[in-house]
Amino acid sequence: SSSDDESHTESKLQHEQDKPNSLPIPAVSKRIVLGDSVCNLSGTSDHASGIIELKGDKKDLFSKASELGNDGTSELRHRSRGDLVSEASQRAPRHRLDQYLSRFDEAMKLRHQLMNEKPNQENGNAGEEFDSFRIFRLVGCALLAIGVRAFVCKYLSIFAPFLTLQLAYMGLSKYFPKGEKKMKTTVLTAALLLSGIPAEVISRSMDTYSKMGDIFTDLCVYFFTFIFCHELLGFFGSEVL
Amino acid sequence: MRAEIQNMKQELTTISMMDEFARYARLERKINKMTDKLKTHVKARTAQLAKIKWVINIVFYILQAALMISLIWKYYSEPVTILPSKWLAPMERLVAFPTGVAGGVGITCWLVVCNKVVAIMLHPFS
Repeated sequence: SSSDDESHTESKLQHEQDKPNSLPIPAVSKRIVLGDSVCNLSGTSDHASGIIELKGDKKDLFSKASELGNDGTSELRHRSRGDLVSEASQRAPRHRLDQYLSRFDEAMKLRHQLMNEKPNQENGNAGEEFDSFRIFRLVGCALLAIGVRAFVCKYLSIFAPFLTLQLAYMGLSKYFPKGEKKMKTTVLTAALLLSGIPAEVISRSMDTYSKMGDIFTDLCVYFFTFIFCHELLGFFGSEVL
Repeated sequence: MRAEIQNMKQELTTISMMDEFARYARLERKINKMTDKLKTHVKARTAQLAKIKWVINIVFYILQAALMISLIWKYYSEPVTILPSKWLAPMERLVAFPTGVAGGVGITCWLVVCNKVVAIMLHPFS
């Protein structure tokens, strides 16, 4: 009798423990009955928590559905699969939109951060400052142009010494103090960030682009000096003659 | 207006706040009103100057572009100078564009080079 009592109390205790678990069943069955309204709820709700709750409810739904019986189960599964498909299709564009918005926020934050770091500039073109290496390069190009015009140009192309000089500058650049790198915050960088290109790739590309710009500037100074010297020599040569 | 505010401030220092509070407060209100008016005027003038500067910049850029286009149009077939073509190898065609003269320096290339050099020379003054 004591063992019977114990088993009875145990079953009672188990029943009481099961009660909170069994409580969702009527709620679940209510959701099953409601069916469409649940779908509508998931479709109209903008809150992720609502979707997560619904997912959790769906999990409960699937776990408890087996207990309901065969007839109800197959119908229930078809319905919930249909619901899932429609929800997935609705979730995909929303996910893309969320992704886009998060990238936009990151790009704006980065832009604001960079704008706060750099000093205020009135003119947009005043971004480049001439450091010692830059001045050294320009003076070197001008002097080389004079030397090439005076001695070398009869023997080979004028661009060959220029290329040699640029290679020498690449090696010499590490011996000069480097100034702070200023990243220009432009519409282009913001657009590149928005299109998903990592910031490191953008900064490297901008760095390469600025180096190419420096080489082009050197070439312009070199060529201008060369032509100027050529014309001066021609003028003074004719004057002498 | 600035002189007027300065005079009123000087007058304010002569008035005792304890003895003539009403007059002091009235004058202080007047000073604040005039200061606000002055700030508004200064803002308006700054905005106007910025607008004028912007218009002058635009006009300057348009004139510069028009000058370049007219020079290219007029001298597109005449080289600026002629050098031995082997000096400019391998870029003689690019340098000679649009003249087509071997060893010549085209107006387009020369304008680009001059533009850059002038920008560098004017950079310390900007």
